[in-house]
Amino acid sequence: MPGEKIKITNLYKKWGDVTAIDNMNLTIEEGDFITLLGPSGCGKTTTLRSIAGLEDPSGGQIYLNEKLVFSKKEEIVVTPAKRNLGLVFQSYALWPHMTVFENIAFGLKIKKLPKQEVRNKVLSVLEDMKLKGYEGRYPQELSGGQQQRIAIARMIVNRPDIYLMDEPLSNLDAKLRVDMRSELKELHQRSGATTVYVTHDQVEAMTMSTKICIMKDGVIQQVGSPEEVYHRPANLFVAEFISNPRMNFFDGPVLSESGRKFVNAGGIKLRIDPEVIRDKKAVKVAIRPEDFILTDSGIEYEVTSYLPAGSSNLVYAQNGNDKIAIMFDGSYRVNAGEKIKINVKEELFNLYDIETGNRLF
Amino acid sequence: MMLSGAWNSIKLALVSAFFTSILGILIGYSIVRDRGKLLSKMNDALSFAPYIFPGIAFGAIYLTMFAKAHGPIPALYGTFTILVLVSVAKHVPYSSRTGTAAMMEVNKELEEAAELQGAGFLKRFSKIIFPLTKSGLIAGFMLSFITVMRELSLIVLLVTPKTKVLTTLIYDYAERGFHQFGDAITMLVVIITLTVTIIIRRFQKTDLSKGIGG
Ligand SMILES: Nc1ncnc2c1ncn2[C@@H]1O[C@H](COP(=O)(O)OP(=O)(O)O)[C@@H](O)[C@H]1O
Ligand SMILES: [Mg+2]
Repeated sequence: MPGEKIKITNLYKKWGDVTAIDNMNLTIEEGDFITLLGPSGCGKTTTLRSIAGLEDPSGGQIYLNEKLVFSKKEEIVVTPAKRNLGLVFQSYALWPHMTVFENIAFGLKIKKLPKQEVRNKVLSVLEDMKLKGYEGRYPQELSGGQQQRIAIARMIVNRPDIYLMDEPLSNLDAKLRVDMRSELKELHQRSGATTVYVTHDQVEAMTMSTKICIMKDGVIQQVGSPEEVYHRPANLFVAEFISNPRMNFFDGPVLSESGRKFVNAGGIKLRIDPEVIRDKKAVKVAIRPEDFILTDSGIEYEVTSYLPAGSSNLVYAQNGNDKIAIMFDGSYRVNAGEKIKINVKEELFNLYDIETGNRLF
Repeated sequence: MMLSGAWNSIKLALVSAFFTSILGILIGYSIVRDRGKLLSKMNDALSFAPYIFPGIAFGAIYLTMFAKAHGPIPALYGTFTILVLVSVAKHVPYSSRTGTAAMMEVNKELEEAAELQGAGFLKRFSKIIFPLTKSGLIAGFMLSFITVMRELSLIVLLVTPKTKVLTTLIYDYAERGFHQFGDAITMLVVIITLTVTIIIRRFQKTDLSKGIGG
């Protein structure tokens, strides 16, 4: 069984009136690739910097390898260098007055490794990161993608057992970003290093992570596998945030028929467990675009637009005041103005409490 | 007399400028790094104090402060040290301005990256901060060097025959009516100042084009 690599308990960070981290409790297991996901300003960077020891939290504890490295109460602060972790800054933070070689060799020289060993290690990492031949250049002479590789090379050459990465792909163009995703994933698999990855891009989070931690205003909203947060969002914020293509929401009135309970979602009657619904008059229903099916017994909708995207198609349709987005596979053809009959795939919907926003089912 | 005066002047200007610019960057560092904290506010205010006093008053304060020995501090009157001390104190407000400006240019993540790699404060200072603030540091050094070379009012009360510098010599000659001697030494001050400026400029230019990779 893998051990607890990083454990954060009751962590707070306040800047004056702003609470950047609000009572955070999070356990990260050895070998995890966990992504901190959330909108700008939700506290992702502050969390990462606290783990690294670059920030001084206002309260709480941080354990690395089950050893206390930060405790406000006990006044324990282990310096960043002694935490055996590496960080790729969003800005890359490469030293402009040093060559690529010197940038990567810096930490090894601090550790006073023999010259030849430093050279071998740096050259081998340069080869791994496809930077061979650039060792004599200065970072600002290289492209954004290459600079990013230098930043990663500078981290991995020291063989830390935790990788921290703050939006490493956000400064790259779209094509490079997609390529780098798989490279970073491979890097994680090869090294086995526990990785904490920060992004505000949900597709990046979904494709790369073993676990996603969604944050809002310094508060963790949900921690789970990509499948869990996608199919079972814990609250309306997560349902809305993990929403590519968009999530369908309905304010569904609850209907009672001969002891059974139903909720009306855009004309579609969904049968629900009375235990879940209790005496609520209405709930919020969330249905993903791909969780609709075409069926003759379905509810009639009129197609308002058809957006083919190769492997899948997005269809917007309307029924009175209810507008929905549906995803079909790439072979499906339909024209605006046509009528379609739809239903929801068995149990593939989520119910939320209108007041609290928390998931009921 | 003139030779030892010239030597004293250059020595004083070099040593003071060295300490002034190093202190300037250290003060700039503390101001920029813990912006908002008490220490940096105090620092900010204190380093301005010498702006307020005229040079000669400043000199007088030092004269009375260090005329006699206080505890472990020996009587400094008549020593070279007191000239350095007073010159550094007088010019630190200026160099801490340049130091602060130079430090603002250094993203703190550059230093944190080095900290994560195990570099202690001295290593970070010498390998990261110093190289990245070098041009600011050199500008501060030059400014202090030139002003110390030309300084009179500040040190006139503190020099003794042994520690006479060029400007106090000019003053002596002018007082005794030897105007030609005074003019000659004035020329000498101008020449030394210019020479040092040119040397540093040259050094700075070649170094920059190498450092940033041109
Ligand atoms: N050095 C700082 N001083 C004051 N407020 C800060 C500082 N750093 C971050 N904050 C605030 O803390 C909150 C969280 O910031 P951050 O962790 O950078 O968010 P994210 O990385 O998710 O965009 C924001 O409201 C931000 O304005
Ligand atoms: Mg951030």
